[in-house]
Amino acid sequence: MTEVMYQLKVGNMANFTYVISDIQTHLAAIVDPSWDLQEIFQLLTEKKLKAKHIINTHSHFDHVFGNDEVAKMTGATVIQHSNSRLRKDISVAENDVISIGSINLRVLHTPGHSEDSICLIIDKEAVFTGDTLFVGAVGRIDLPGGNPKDMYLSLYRKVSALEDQLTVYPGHDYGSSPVSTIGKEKLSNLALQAKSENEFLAFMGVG
Amino acid sequence: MYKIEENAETNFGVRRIYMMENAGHGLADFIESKMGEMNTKFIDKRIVAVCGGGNNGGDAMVCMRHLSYNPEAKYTVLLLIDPRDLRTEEARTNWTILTRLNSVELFWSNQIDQIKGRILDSDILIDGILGTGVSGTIREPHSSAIDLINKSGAYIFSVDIPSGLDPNTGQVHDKCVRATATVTFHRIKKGLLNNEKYSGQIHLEHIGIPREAERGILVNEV
Repeated sequence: MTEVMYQLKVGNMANFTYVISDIQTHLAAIVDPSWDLQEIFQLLTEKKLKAKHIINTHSHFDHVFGNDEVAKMTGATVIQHSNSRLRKDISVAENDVISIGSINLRVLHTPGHSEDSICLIIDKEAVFTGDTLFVGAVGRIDLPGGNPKDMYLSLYRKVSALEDQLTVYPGHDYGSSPVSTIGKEKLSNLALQAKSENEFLAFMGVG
Repeated sequence: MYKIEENAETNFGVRRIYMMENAGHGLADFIESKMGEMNTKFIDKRIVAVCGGGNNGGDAMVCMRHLSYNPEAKYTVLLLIDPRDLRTEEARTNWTILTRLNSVELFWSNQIDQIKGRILDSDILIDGILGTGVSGTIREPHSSAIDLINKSGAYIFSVDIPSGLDPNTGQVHDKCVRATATVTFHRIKKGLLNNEKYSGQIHLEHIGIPREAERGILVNEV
């Protein structure tokens, strides 16, 4: 309600970069800058936004490799979960709140795809799910840092417990639409239908 | 009025969001025609909608979206509460639409010194502060906003009823906007006729509520 979100589809891995801006102060956070950085800079100029933070949903290269250049160009500080081993200005953990003007982004630690995966929640409105939850799918658990049991807990205890109305902004454009809602995903996402941890692990091919 | 709207929605399927669209669009059309009459042009005009947290404010937001087809004017929606505290789904929806536009500036504050300049500097004001549910003393910043609107010297268009006027009796319990014109919806509220010095010219706009939706609702229960 006090923010405008821009979803930019970038690169050849169907990544999404997000720019979240506060209407009143024109401050912005850039989530997962990578690939087509020119698009980000153009948007910032066009909408007269001042980038305050760069936030990475996790430290895989396709989500972070624009960090340095965007930080250099804008002076924004880099925020990641404390488990990330990459260079960062601010470490965050579960329930920390990142403010950009009047916008509050709450951190939900959701390991499983990687140790430092986080989701960012705007109360009653939106959740940026990185590579934890996609539209119609979930993130891989076979990459370094992946952990199937953690993924189960993150998806079934944390993400599924979020309010149905939240708009889901995923880290990649892998689904039938670029956005969804928690409610829709709980109903139709096959990876969220397991009745037990074992069933989930079997579905993910590691049971 | 609330009961009629509710009846239209639950028994006739006329959703409130449609009523709000019709209300805001009707208001915008009226303002445009009025400007034509007054030989006033949009160019360089500062048009400010002062909105409270209810559907009256939502109507004004829709109106601004329609008015903004005229690119020569400068449009500002001034919300007297935090947008996250908007009370109705319809008002929230229309606020969210405006957040995605470049043509309407959005500003919110409950601090009088922050809203003062924007109201006093305007050429055309849309009063969407309070609707038909008003009673008793008006709280801040709504109260000061009403004073500032009356001091502004701008053309003032009230949404449905001038903020502060009792729709049934026409009484002013505390204070009230003195409108150039009032665009009232569905039917003319009794209070408007009793107190034209506040309402200014009264224009009735139908917003899609079927006549049948009035059945069974007592006239004095609006």
